[in-house]
Amino acid sequence: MTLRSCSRAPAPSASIWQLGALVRCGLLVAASVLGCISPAHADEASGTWTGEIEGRPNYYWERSTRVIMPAARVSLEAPNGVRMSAAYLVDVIGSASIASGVGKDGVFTELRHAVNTAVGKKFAVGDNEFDLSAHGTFSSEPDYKSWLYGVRGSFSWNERNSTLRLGLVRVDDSVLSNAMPTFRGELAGLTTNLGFTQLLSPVLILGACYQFVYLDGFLGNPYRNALVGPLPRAEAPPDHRVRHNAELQLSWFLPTTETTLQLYARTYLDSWEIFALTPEVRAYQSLGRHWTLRARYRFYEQTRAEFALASGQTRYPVGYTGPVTSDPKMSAFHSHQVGLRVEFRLAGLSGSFLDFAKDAVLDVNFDYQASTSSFGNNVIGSAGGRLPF
Amino acid sequence: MSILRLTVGASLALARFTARTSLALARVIALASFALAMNACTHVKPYQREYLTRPGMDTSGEMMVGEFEAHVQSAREGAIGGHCTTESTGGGCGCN
Repeated sequence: MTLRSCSRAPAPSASIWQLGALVRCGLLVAASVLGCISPAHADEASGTWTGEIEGRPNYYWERSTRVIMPAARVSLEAPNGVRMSAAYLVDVIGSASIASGVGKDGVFTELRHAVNTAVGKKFAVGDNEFDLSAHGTFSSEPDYKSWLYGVRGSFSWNERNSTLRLGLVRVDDSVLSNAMPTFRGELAGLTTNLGFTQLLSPVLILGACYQFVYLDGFLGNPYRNALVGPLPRAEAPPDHRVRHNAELQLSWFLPTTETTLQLYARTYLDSWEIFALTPEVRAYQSLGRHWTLRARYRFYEQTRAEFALASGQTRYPVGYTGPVTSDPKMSAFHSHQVGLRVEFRLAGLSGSFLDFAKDAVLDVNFDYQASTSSFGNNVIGSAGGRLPF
Repeated sequence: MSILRLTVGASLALARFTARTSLALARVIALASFALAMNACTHVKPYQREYLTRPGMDTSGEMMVGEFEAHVQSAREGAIGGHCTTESTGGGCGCN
């Protein structure tokens, strides 16, 4: 529960369950379509299975928390064009405080296991292309169980110059407390994604997406307290949250220098009155056949939630009965993040006894984030490899 | 009831932040309109797609790294999502 915030709230309303039924219907439709419609001939010519294996240990470090997350994924594409993937990860979380910087309890370690599966297929629709997929994730740790499942569809037209994407994801979470065995909270959520990608020229891609998230239920942390006057009170933010995200992405390739520039602009607004802006720039530089470097800079700034304490305040006034929180990420803060990624292709193995790995790619990622939130600065690291077959 | 609640909640939040967000939203709408307008006047032929597979133009190889980063951000930032290539990672990730 370290990397989470939860709150005391009633069970989700009937409406969100109806939305969940909609997602389940979508999954059934996706499965039916995948099973009944003829393939789009993506891989029929070769008649062979293709795929990719990826393995990746991830690392996160901050003043009071360490996370090690090894993860692996296998992707397959059948001769009839059906794509399948399965992924597994284990999240090893070590924290100096079970309340993420609020309490003074001792060091603890927690494990989270998660599995993810997905199936999808592309269909030819005249000269255009339709891609449909369904996916599901189950995550389990001693005090948190989560089901996430959804469908994605995309339609490309104009010789795939234009692509429209739509996604629908349902989340069902159960929150427990190691400190209070009788405690149980439920959280239901629905996410919709709408995206559009347009080729502007042979070297320019523009992408835009909008995401709507509706959460209903347990939205706090059962381990966390806030001070109301001199007394601690269990954290209790509102039990509903509506979130809006919009992002623009521009990718521009410069052939003379083999450089790609990426620009991101993201804006966020939710019903708790958190407003955030996130501009980001990335530069990719190819160095010969084997190496690629990526440098990035990301700025993030958010306002505080309407019920969060203002900067300098440490407690709510005596007699206050509204929503309370002590979650650092509900406060106003900003951060600067710089990162470097190094990618190496094993093309040099072509013709050797390791010829099977000639298309493999190894990469190392390192990011440092300087943040004014009480979580403090952090480091994100990752190293991994992909082996297509 | 659900739609009404969503509409009212979103409308209230939008109204309270109108002054601050109007400029950003206007920019988003303007750029989206620009993209749609460009759709009508550009066309990249299949044989002109060589550069679209170069690093940075095709970021499919960064998906798994992106998911981990999104997981971390959802636990440490009040705003999540909005990424065109990564959705919610699910689980006990602080994404409430």
